Amino acid sequence: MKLLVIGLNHKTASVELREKLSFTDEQIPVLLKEIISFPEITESLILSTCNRVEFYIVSEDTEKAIDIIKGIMSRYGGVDRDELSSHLYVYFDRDAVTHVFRVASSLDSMVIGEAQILGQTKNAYRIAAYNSTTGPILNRLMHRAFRVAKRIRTFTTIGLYNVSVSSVAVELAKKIFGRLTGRYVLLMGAGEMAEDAARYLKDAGTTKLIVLSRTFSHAVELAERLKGSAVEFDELYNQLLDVDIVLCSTSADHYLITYDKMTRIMKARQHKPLFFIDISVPRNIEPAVSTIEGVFLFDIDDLKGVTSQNLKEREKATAEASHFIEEEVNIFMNWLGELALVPTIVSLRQKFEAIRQQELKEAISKLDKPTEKEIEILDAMSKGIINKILHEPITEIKKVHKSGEVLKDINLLKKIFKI
Amino acid sequence: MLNVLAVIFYILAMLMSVWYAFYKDTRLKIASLISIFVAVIFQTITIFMLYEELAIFPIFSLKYAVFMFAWAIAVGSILVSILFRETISVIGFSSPLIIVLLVVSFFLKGSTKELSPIFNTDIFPIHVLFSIISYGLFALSFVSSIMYISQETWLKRKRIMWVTRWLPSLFILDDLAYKTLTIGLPLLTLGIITGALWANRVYGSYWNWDPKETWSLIVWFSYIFILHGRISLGWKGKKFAFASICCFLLVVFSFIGVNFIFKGYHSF
Repeated sequence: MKLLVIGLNHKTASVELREKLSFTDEQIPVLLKEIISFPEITESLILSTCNRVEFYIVSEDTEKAIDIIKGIMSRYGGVDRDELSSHLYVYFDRDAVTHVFRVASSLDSMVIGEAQILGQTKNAYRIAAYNSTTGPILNRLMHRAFRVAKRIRTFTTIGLYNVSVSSVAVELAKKIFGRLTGRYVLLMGAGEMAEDAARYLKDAGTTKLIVLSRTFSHAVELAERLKGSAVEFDELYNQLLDVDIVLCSTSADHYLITYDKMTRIMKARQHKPLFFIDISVPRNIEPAVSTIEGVFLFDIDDLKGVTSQNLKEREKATAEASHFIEEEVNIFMNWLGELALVPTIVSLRQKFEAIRQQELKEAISKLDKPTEKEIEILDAMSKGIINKILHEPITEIKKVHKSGEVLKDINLLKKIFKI
Repeated sequence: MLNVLAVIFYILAMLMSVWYAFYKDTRLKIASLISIFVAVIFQTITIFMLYEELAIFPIFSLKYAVFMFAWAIAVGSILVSILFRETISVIGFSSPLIIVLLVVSFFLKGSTKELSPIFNTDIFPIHVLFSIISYGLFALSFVSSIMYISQETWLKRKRIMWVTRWLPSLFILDDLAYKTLTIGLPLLTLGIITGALWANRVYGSYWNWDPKETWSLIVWFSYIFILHGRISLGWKGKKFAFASICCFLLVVFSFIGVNFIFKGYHSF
């Protein structure tokens, strides 16, 4: 009995491919039921997010299982099987368990420490359980996965430090303004980073967004995309009287906002706090502006300084998290081994007992009127032989079990004794 | 002794609060709150015991006044941590002040002789309670102001580290520094009024220009002044924080300085 993980993620497949294979909550039960209809597969679960599609399978016949899953992915996703294979990864047993734990704990995510994946994993489990496609192994696996994810979130700082410029900008804005609801953002210029930051700020609660650009039509187009409004460039100083956060990212090669002008503006707004994020290169906001009371000015280097500091912290947290996962994987593998051990030993004994009974019967039939005593002696001898033969192997297997490596040996045992 | 336990729990509360700065584990936050709450309970019990033992409200010597001051700051800190978001760091900052005050109160002498019956009226405890609690709130405004100035300096200098993450936003700190005064000032007003009522009961006149009385009036006017600055002149942020710190220094003087420098019936 093996545990398998088959899938692809943002590291192995392009977004186009992932889109094709992204299954909805309505489609998943259909797929699950089809997978489980195969006798080789005893348990299954599907995790489908925008960054990964993974199948968690418990199966007797791993090759058949892989084949089945590939078939299903190919059919439902409308993708050629061979093309698919080159993007898929397959993990067995220990590696599978490690992978599941890492995914649930966000260690395999595009942004390590993100909080969404745990909820998505829980949802995937819920759907599979509801459709009765999970069994003792997946049930325990997923519960332990949730547990270790929670431990990691609680005991490490993994989700704490922002590593993108946009999220750092939001974090800083929150440190200045507290809650961002009702706050007013001014976006000067355009660009991927600026747009991303504007979106982040909007998600964090800012209400008003005004876009300003030398070319009014550009401003209008951007404003529409970001659901804000556009103004003419010469409105700049008027806007600066009211704005809370300014995102500056233009291609201008001189200072658009100067110390002198800002001094007057800050005075006019009674030094109400203003947060400048200047990600333009060269800078559009005169650095001396940061000395004015009420002004907080961060340029791209400042923001990158924070993100790289945070990245180091996150790396530390990731290392800690890996330790937790290692511990949990050992515990789970022990349990898995135990699970397989007892029935294997029972099967083994049963098989030998069946052979013994057969041979005993034959021996008795060959004897001429055997007495009770003689039958007893034959019985005791055959039993003695079997027990002595099995004694050492079983003791050894139980010893190996303690070290957590027993699954391989159990599989070997089952193979050679055909049980 | 209960007081030693109280100090221990204040230290614990402070440590939990700082530890939370590094591991944002909610349990640390709760542990910090529980610790400070337990410490306050211990202090409250001591106050009641003193009340029982002395049969009057225990505020007639500097020792107990400082003791109650620490208590008031602790109670205020707990309320602030519950009512304002992300303010567990307040406990981290106010605890040192509380602990210092408590330790100081241990070393002061609590004279039990000369217990005039003048203290034995029911208006006296009310006067004391209002005054001490108002001072506690002023202390919290002071603590918030210090936190505000620190946070603003670091943010402006773009030094982002564990402290900046631990401290709440500038907005909250500024709001806190202000709101504590909006409650503290009315309480001080009531404290002064009840004090005058008590003086009349005992001495026959409402106001005697006792140094303490005079200074409490000075403190009162100072806080009125900065609240006016805030409301009408838009004093906020750093300016307001500095003002609050200065006013609190006046409070400290009126509390302690007056006792040692001037002699009047307010001195211990």
